[in-house]
Amino acid sequence: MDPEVSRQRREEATKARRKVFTVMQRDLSFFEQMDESTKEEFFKKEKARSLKVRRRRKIVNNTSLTIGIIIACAVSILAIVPVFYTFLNSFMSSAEISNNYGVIFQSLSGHADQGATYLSSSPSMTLVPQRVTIEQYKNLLIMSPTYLLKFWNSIILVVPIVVGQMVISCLAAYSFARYRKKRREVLFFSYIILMLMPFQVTLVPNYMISEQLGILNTRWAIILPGIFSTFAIFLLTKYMRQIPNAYIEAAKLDGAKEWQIFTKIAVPMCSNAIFALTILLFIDYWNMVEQPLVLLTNADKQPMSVFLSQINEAEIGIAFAASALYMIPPLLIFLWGEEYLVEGISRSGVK
Amino acid sequence: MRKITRLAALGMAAVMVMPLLTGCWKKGGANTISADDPWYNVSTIAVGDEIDSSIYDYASLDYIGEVNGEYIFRLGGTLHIPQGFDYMTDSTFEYRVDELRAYDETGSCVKTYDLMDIVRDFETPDYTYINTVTAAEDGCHILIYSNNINTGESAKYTTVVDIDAGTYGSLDPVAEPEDEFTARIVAQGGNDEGEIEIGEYKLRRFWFSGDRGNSYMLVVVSPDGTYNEFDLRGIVPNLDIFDISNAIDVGNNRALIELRCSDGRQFMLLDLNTMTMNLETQDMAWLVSKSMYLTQVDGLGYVIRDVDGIYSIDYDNRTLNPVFLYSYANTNMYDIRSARPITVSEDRAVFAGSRYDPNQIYGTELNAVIYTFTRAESNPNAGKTILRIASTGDFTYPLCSAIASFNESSDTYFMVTEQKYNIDVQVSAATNQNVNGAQADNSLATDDAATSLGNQLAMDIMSGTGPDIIINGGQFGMLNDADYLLNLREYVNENYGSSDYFTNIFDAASDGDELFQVPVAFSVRGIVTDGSNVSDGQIGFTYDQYAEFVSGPCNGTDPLGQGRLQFFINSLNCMSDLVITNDTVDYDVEAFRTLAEYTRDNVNEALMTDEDDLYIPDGERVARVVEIANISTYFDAVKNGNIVFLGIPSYDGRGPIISAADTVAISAQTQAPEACREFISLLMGDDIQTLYGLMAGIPVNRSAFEIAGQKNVDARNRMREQITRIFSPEEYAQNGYNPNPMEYSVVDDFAVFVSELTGWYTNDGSINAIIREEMPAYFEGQKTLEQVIPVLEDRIQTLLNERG
Amino acid sequence: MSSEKDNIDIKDKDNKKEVKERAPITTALTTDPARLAAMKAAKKRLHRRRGLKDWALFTGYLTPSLVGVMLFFFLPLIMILKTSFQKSTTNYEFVGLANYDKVINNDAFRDASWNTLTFSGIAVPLAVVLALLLAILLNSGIPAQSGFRSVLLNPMMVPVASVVLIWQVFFSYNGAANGAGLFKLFEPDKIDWLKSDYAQLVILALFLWKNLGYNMVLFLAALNNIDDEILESAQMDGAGALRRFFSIKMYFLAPTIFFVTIMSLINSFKIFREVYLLTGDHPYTNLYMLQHFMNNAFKNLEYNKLSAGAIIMCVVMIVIVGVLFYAESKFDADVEG
Repeated sequence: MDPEVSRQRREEATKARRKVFTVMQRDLSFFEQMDESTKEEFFKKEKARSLKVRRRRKIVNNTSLTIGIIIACAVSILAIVPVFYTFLNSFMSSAEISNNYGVIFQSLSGHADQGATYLSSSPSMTLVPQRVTIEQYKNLLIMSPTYLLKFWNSIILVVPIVVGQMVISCLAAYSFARYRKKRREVLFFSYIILMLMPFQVTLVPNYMISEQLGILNTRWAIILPGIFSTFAIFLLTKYMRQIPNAYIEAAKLDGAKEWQIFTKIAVPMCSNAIFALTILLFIDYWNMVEQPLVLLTNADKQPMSVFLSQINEAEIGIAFAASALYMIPPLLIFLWGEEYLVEGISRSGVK
Repeated sequence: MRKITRLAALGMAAVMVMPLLTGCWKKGGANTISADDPWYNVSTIAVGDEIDSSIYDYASLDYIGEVNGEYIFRLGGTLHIPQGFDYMTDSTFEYRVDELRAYDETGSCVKTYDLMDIVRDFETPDYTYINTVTAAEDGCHILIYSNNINTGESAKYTTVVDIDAGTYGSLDPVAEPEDEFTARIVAQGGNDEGEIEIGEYKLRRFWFSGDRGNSYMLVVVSPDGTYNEFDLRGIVPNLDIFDISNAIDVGNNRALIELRCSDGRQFMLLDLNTMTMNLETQDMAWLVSKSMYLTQVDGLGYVIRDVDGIYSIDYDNRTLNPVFLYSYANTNMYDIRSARPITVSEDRAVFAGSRYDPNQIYGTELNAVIYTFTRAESNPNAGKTILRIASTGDFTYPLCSAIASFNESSDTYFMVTEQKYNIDVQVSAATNQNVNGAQADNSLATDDAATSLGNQLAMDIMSGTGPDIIINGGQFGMLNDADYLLNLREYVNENYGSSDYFTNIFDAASDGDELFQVPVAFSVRGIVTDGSNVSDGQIGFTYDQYAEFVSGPCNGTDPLGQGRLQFFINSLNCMSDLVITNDTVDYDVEAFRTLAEYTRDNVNEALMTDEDDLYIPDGERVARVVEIANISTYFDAVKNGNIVFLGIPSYDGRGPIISAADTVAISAQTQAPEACREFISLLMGDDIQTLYGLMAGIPVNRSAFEIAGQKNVDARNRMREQITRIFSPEEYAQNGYNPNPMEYSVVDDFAVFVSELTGWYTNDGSINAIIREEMPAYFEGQKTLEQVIPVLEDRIQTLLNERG
Repeated sequence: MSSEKDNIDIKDKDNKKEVKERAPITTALTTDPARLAAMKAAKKRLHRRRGLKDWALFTGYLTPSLVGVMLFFFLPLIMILKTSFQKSTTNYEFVGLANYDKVINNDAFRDASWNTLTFSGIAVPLAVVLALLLAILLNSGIPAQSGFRSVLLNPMMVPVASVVLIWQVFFSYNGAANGAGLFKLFEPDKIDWLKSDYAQLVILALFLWKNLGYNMVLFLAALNNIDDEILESAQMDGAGALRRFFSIKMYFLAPTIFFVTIMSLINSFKIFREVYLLTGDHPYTNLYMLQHFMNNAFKNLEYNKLSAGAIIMCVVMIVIVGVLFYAESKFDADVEG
């Protein structure tokens, strides 16, 4: 065989293996195939037709635009009403709240077991309080330390989980992204299945395992399973698989070790996804209720989310204020990270 | 590479499987008693038998202490005050009794000393009282309060009595503590509440009441006279403290001061080294839940006198350590529990109290008893297997007797009590703690406790660490399963036949051929009213009859007075066989509709106060709801002879129902089922059943029933004699009592009545919850039955389906 | 000067490499079977060594996660598997499929599975489709697009309790939806929403309210990423708007759709929490879901039933996700090629 041919073949094979993009021949489009005269004719016809079309299209566009705006506004209002509501109502005084909503809480017995029962009369949903006071916030923050303690409990549960899960997931995602053998794919698939399992499925064994490990009734019983949750791995893997191999190959050629590739290339390129994930995870775990209920039997280790789901009649007053305060950390994180969030999610879903 | 992966996979699998496999083989072999386990020999000294109590109207014999090897008791009371006595003008002095009695080890009285001799020497003996007597080496120290009505002064004196010589020393007036701060603080509005001693320091308390609540000002006086003031109104302004009585020494010159606040108990740590007082912020639940058992014992300071023993308070480790458990000796735990610990140490313990004689009903027998525990060298029960018995309620006297007699007679087993599953303890702990400020609702706390303890119990049984015998586990419905408990139906059928026992009770408690929790004693629920108010032969009420009854003889006051939901649920529970058959619920029946309509139309929402106290009978009451929990209650209810006992209103007018029983159950995991069965037969035996009949519950044993009944009759006749001495028979009858002596035939009538009962009260918490959610809509008239019934049926059917 | 030398050196290196590599291949052209075999074996050894190193390295990265997942997720699953084959919690006798039999024949379980299936079956596609429509809406030139985006993402952050409160106020028997505002005009009979046949609709509304924002943002971003060039050229080629949409946009959105479907599936299970707080342990049949069944079995200490039910749920999910995965991989192959 001709060495030149074989060399070319080898080169192409290598390039194919490394997926280096080369300029490909593209077919000329319909447009480019025409010669001058036909082009002119075409354009004249087009202009004539398109004027009509454009006029019609403008009207349609305008109306559809306004309809679109209306729909979008309606949906937005629906979405934001509860938040608005909670914030505004948190400025009501206790008396007013009892007046308006007392009937709901009379039926709530303060237990997650006993869901809302019958409301004997209609609660009145007032949006704006008659008299604006910050009494609720005062009660919440200053009077008794229990609520701040619960707040702190929430934070001390969520932050380790989020940080831990990010670290472990980055490592694992890198592994899944770089090493794509068939068996590994099966493992990945099972990770996804695990992600889908609702909590009740693994409740009892988790309880027993926690007891065996001696971490029952401590925060670790919730933090450890949270750190090893597989949600972040799923997202990060998808993202990391998109990193063009060219970068990695180039780094390898420059003599970089795997660890350096990981820290200097993979992680920075995924930084958007990491931000996005942090926010998502934070919001998710900030709202968790079942795990603390079962695994933390000590009442003063319960986070705020559990408390909020068990409001009873004695505490209607602070319910709204507590909810409002409770919404603030996710809101802050969300506003700060919104840029990263949207950009991060965008790149993870698309190839 | 393949091989390595395979090995790694195998290794991981092995690691995962191993714990599962080991989990399969549960720990076999129960615990046994070792010779090192603490054991005390008990000697009992019973005193007071020689006293003729009939001469007294009221008297009590209290233990003071030991002086020169003799046991000193104080007998205080009043002689019979004759009729026609005018409390305004006549002197009570002659009728007062107050004397010291010294006993030796055999329980015979060796000396007495009349304390009234001291009182007699005062100017105004009528207004002079002996406050406290304490035993010391040199004799008995007496504290006397005297009010001189002529001068309007009151003074305190102390003296020392030498019993042997029969004299008393000089009367020393007690000076009020003079210090700089008392007057000043009192002037600010404080109330002087005296002092507590903490070692050599004194804690003076001043109580302030204010608009924002009550609080205290505390002054700590050091031995050298210096004092530090702590104004709790400033230190803990949010707490509304209504009492401070305990200051616990926790070592290192620190004391825990217990604050009793309106919303629970809190503790403050007083550091005597630095003279600072801070609110205890760490978790004190371990102490707060037991704080009602806080008491002082000579030699140990403050201890927790818990249900099963004495525990010391270990503040640094936040735990309670057992010091002296009642299971360390073979006595009736109930007796010891009722006695007061005088001194406790590792070698010796002394408890004193009054002897509990179940045969003495309404008696004023004076008797006292001293239990002396001396440490044995080795445990004579060494080698016996431990059987654990748990109760969800109190360990009653009959139960403790049974345990004591079992332990004495058994060579291979020793029974130990288990307090872990006690609902009452947990409820009072929860209500004491007032978590979230909202647990003041007792029934909610009880439900909570029942659920969590039931789960705990089930888990423990599963893992092999549960108790062998479970008493009063009726609340744990989830345990009624062959996985957890033994099916005792056949055992009961074979051993407890109808000639000796009320087998209808067993039948009512069984579910077909399954009986997991055997009733040992039971109670009956129903309405008591005069026979003239209802027609002859009526055993219960239908709704129409009840409506008539309420509007007629009761003049509109509903004796049930429970509020709609409560009434509805109660009645529904009585007729569950009409609506739930074969795991299918059908509420679309006449019975349900009539009940619902009746409840909506006739039952008031307003709740009345608790059921009347039967021991303060009100002859005016036409009808009462009664839970006959023991024979004497029945007699109280039926005192007039014409009283009838009817069932709670139901669709078919059925009779009273059997409920709330003392039950016994055997765990399916026990290693000694035979021994447990022996224990049950002990509980069913004549002796223990008689005890039940006298104290707690109606016994299922016929002869015990008869004996207890007869004793009750005797006691009532005795009491009748005593009261007719004061009141005339007419007054007696006015109070609702039957002035004629009772006959034994009453007992037989009652026995017949009991043997005809068939209804059993079934209470299912989950179904109740659903009804509580749905029915109010109907009761308030906002929904019709047509709307409510389908929803109810649907939800309850799901519930029943779930259970399989 | 030196650089030239360097170049030469490099070239030499290349040449040297080429020389080395050329040598075996020229000998391969001799088609000597022995030599061929030796060469293949050499290549394999090279690959294997590299493969082993790679495997060890990457598994090392995976280890922390693997350990945790094994301990906290796989191990419980195996324990559940084991319990589902046992007679009872105290009796470890192996009873084969008896528990599964009991569970499958349990009416409550059947109801629960049917409800969960229908709910997810309706909710997930709705969530995906509606979100897609919303995304297209927002993408077609409406002003303040990012403002709408933020607002619509808000529901994700509201704590469960507030949501429950407001839903209750609205939909209870005496709630706003029964007595106030518009309804007064039509005066229909009062409906106890959560206990009627419309219960699932209410919960569906809750689910959509919560999750539309998130899905929509995903779709928006994906839409933004489609090359405008392709769209324009298609437009030039005479494709209508609809055709444009289906052929091109869907094509590029396919991976996102897969992703959003899985996320919505997860979230449709999470709705249990709100349902539980609204209606308690045993809701009206429509709302009775698999998790209610499992929760109650847990409370009643019937672990074997719980385990059998959980394993069945697991198997069904494996099937569903497997199908989705397979479909996605098919799409992947096309797009990548």
